[in-house]
Amino acid sequence: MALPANLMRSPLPAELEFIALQQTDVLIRPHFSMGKIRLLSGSYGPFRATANIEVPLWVGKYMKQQGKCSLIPPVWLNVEWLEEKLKQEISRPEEFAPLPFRFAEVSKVFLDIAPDDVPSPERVRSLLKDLREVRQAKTRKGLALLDEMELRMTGLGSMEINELRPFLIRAMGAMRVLASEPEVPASTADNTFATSMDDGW
Amino acid sequence: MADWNAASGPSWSNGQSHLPSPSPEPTEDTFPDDLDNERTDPISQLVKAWTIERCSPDIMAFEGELVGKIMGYLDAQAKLIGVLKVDGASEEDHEKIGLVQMEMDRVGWLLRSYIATRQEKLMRYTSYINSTPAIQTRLSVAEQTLIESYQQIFEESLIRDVVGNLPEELQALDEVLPDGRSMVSQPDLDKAVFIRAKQDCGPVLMPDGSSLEIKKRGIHLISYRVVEQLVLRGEVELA
Repeated sequence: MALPANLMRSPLPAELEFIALQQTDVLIRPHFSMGKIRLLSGSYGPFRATANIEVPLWVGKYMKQQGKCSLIPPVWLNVEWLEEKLKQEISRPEEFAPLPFRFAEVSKVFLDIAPDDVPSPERVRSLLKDLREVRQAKTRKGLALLDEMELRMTGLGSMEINELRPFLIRAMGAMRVLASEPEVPASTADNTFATSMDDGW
Repeated sequence: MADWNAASGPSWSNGQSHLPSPSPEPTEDTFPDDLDNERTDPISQLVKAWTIERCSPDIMAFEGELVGKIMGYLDAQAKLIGVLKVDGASEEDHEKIGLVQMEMDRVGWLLRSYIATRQEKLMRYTSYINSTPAIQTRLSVAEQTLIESYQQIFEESLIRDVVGNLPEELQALDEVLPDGRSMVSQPDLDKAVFIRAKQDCGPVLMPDGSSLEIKKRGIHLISYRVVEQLVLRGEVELA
């Protein structure tokens, strides 16, 4: 079956989360022991209880949901770091604070399945929300800079790009059409308008 | 041309591991990410192919070798599970089987979605592809068969139910209007895409003659045609 047209315009947030689960690694602290396991994306293990080990996020999620490990949050997913970034985000109105490219997806997975592994999850959640709002305000301001050629948006995360994608791509397409249309000399345009007015009325 | 950020943009410095140390050091801006430690396993390559196909307005070359390799792996893993189950699995084996099955499901989803994405483009641009040999080389054999028969069925039905009843001068299915619009739709390569630079790229020539510097980690919204070569060479990824 061909992909439905609405999915062709932009991936779904759930699809981006799937990709983040696949492409991000996470440290876990196993609560069990298991020999090495060979998966298509690589070999992992051996797992020993309480010895931290790095696995793809989807493996961590699977084990966490079975109560077989705790997840260790990435270095940026904590109150201090996010507070610092929020400050930076507010004090530098001209640029986006550098967050990991998939920060939205990864933090969502952590807060969804492992809030007990994140210190002060409620505070983290609200900081992420504040960050999102400050960044969205910047995005809205930045829209004024859009032209038919190029727009630099360094610092945006993958989920933020995805949100903007349908609108920005259409907008740029429309501006391209406008820019490529030959300009009608003002006088001619006025005359035509005047003539048709005379004829019509 | 617009520059969203005033300064040269944030730079995350390189690091040794792609995982930050477990003890948080919130003072630094510098932590490594996927661009410093690119994955090369087949599943990551499939993710890459999926992303490019999904985000690019063009029909990309089919990753036949990769898909074949992954199908082979899936078969092997399925057999392995069968053997483990027959032998009477230990608790540890059960754990492993769960993970292997989960991964097979995930990879299966990716493969289906990748192929469905291509199929959507193939069916939308069928008659353009059928008349453009250069594009046909990007298709798998199965895909070529698909669009040949699809075009035949589609045109037969169109002629029988609609076009056949119109005056002869209105019966063409590939007419080009004087203003350049064509009945045969083809990919719009000028369409804007989001790119994320995996490395510093040389200056890129813009349609108006100016040049654009694309730095590592730079994210730009830009016409696909301008960066097509960078995408094909893997210097930038579509986001």
